[in-house]
Amino acid sequence: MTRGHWAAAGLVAAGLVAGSLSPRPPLREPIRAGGFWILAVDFHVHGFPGDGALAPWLLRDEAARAGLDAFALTNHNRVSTARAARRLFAGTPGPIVIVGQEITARGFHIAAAGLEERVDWTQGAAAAIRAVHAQGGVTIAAHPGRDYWQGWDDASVALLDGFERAHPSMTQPERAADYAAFAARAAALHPNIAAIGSSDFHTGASPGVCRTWVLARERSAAGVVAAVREGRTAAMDMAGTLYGNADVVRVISEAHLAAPTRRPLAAWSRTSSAAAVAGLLLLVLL
Amino acid sequence: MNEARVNLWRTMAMTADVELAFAPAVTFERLARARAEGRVTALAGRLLLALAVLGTGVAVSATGRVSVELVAGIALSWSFALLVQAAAAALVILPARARTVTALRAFELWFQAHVPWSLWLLLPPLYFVAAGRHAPDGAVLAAALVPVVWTALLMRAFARRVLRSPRAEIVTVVHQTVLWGLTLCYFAFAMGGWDRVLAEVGL
Repeated sequence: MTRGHWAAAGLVAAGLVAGSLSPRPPLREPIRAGGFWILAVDFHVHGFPGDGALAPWLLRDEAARAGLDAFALTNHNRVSTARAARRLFAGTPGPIVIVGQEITARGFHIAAAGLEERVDWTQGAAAAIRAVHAQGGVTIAAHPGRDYWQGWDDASVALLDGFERAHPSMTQPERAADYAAFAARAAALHPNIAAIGSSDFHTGASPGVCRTWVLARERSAAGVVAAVREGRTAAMDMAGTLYGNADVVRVISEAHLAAPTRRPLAAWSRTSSAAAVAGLLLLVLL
Repeated sequence: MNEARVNLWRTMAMTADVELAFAPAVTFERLARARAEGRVTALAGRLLLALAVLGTGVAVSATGRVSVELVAGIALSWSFALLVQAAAAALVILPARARTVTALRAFELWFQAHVPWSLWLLLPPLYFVAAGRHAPDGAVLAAALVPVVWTALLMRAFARRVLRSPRAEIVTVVHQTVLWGLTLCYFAFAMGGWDRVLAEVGL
């Protein structure tokens, strides 16, 4: 190793140490209103092993940093990672892990939460929804843009418990228009359907960047799932706009929880990350 | 021409890794002649650098921050990617009877050919911290074609100059088939299973 290599390695180490020393936000303390817990939940998160970047313990840490009280781990057509995570974190402080699955079929994607077993994705949407309900779970139409409308007939939409009203892809105007159109159709078929905000986190856009506020009778996975089933939710997009049940929207607005959820990169994180990446590039190139 | 390129990289004070990326035949030849015996510490250093690149690149892209715990956790999770690389390399290194370096040295030299993938892993997060927004997913995925092709060319030079194979193209095809076959198995698992992949392509 030359002096240059040692300097570059020092830059990497300095970045990592500085990043490790950055202040950690405290766990959010949920508030109560009218006999309900007001919980921040992300119902659509992917983890490792799967096509998500982060293993469950890192994902839970990110969820806590994002101020989430719970998240559903919804890997494609699998529940194994989510079940392992639930077992790993049982009884420990931090966001509640809800076992989920993104039922991923050609014509539709469903974020299912509150599962115990994997749901067969080869059946139609209505049959898949019934299979989730049989396990006590809830079903949410995932990113219901026009690419997926072919799988959603009126009968299956009427069976849904919720749909993603807020999703990071809404930054594309045509996607936002599609989700608004699906919302109008879903509300006509199922007036009490839950509006859901989800990050669909894989490797970008932090968990909770779009989120769901739920009014839960109990602070547990079962309490969160029941709140979706009963339509006590409001979806929040990246700009902090709320959608869904008017009463819940009013409660969230009055609780002053409707702050924008897009977290700009903090200067400290940015500097330490830049040091680590630049140091590695120097190690590789010089 | 290759010698001229090597001299250019040397003039620019670049590492042998960069020389290897841009003039693989000449550099593999030189490195194989310079030392035939492998060193465990050198190979460990190579693997550690690859893990640091992987862990840091993914950490910054996924969370916008780094910490020892985060980078180590991601590197540990995704270390199977290096195992896949090692397995595919073993398949062509171990049976190569004509090679003039030990197997350990051959692995060391192969893991020295990491520059294309290291750049692909580090440049998007560098853009993210500099610009404050992610590079478009489609562009990052499309850019992966560069290291895919580049690494195949590096393997062809490796097969010729380190493994001394008279059929370097076949060695390259075998290596790439095993490497991408294993990688596709993981993608299929991550995307919900082979049955879904087959359904998506209409089979």
